[in-house]
Amino acid sequence: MDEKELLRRIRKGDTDALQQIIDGYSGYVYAIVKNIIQPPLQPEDIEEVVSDVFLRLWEKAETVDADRLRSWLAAVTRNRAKDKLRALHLSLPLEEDVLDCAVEGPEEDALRREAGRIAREAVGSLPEPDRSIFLRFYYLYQKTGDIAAALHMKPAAVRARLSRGRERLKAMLEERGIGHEAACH
Amino acid sequence: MKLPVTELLEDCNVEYIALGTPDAAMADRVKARVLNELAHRRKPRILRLRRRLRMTLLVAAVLLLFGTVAYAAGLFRVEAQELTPDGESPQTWLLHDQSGDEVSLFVGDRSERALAFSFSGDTPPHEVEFRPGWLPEDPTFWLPESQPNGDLFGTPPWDWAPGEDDWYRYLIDDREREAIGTWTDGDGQVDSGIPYLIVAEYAYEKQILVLNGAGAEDIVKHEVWEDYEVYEIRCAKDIYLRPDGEAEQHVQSYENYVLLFSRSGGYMINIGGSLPLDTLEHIARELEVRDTGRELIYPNPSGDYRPNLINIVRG
Repeated sequence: MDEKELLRRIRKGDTDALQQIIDGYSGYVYAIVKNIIQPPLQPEDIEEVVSDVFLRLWEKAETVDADRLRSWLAAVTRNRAKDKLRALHLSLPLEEDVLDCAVEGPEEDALRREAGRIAREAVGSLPEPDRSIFLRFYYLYQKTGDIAAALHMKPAAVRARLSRGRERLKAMLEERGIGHEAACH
Repeated sequence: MKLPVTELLEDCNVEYIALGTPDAAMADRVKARVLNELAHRRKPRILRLRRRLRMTLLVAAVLLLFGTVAYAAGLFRVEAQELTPDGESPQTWLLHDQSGDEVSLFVGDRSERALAFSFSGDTPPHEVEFRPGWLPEDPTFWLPESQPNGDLFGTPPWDWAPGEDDWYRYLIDDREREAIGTWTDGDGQVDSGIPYLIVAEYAYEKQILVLNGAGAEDIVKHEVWEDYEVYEIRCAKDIYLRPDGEAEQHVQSYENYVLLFSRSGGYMINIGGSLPLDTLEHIARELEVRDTGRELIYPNPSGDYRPNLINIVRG
């Protein structure tokens, strides 16, 4: 599939090109949505969110980088799926996995952005398969059992590497002055 | 500050991670739904144009037959411009009007920058009410739908409580946040700001809607949603504190705004506050708005420009 050419055609209003993208990526998008919203929602709810993602692609095709299409789809899918849960006042998965840092006040927004940048750097510095495991779990919301099956590992090994990833993330945040040791846990 | 790990990992590169399996039947259903939606989006515009044309012809016929003035569907236009300080006078800005002439506006609240919206139309705007479809937390104060006698400034009885089907003309979440310091003059505590406020403004004659602290580069998004011309703005706010009561400290905070300008109704819904822009956008997208049918006329006998600050301030 030549994503660059398909996106070029989508920008010109070619719905056949959009359909080809859907053929190639709907399974991927579906998997992410299902990881986030099922249970408690049903397959038709998942397909509704999947459709929303490709409608968003149609609307925003001008701004999408063909070399990062999969990442773009993942980002939009996460947001749309979480919006769906919020709209129904349902709780989001993995929100309880938090780093609790003693930083408050009007600089929270800036610090949150900086923490996000450091987090991406921390994950990028993880060796494989730790990086894949971390992204599959925390970014793509895949369950540890499914991650283990995909990477031919034991679930306990996946959990251990996730724990290592979290420790590394916390350490890098502390090194950069986000929070302090006593309060970051 | 709580940092959910999932929230920290926004916009990651996952190009090399494959998930899911192809499912042709599911893909076909998704394609059908998407194509149906795209076709549906095209139709309403055509239908609206046809309805507008029919309405215009009907109105013209009524005028011809009865010789009376009838309401004709008109369009409201919005234009944003960054104001320049008028070096001559404090708290005064220069606006370029439609003729290109410079007009001096006394705004009364000076910041380093200001973004102005001229919002005008050929007919009086209609009053609107709104009902939120989603809010991140409950409001702390509200004003219900206005009364049929056009009382825009009345307040509800203090024992009145909103119901699920109620409509509003003002909603605010004004709950107290943790104080971050005292003002430099020592008068009162400062917190991180009002989470959200939802209120309507209208395209009155020669009214200029001014957002203090923002410039053209702070417009994060400018797009069209159906009838709305939408501006999303991140507006810097300088706060001067004495956090420990001693040394002065300057911090920069932000207020975010989602402004929905209705091109057919002449109203602007301001959804602003200290919440992140994507949260305010979510509120905006889920907001229902209805036209009461009541025309709003705000006489301007002097014909001067009238600046109106649309910042959300906490005193």
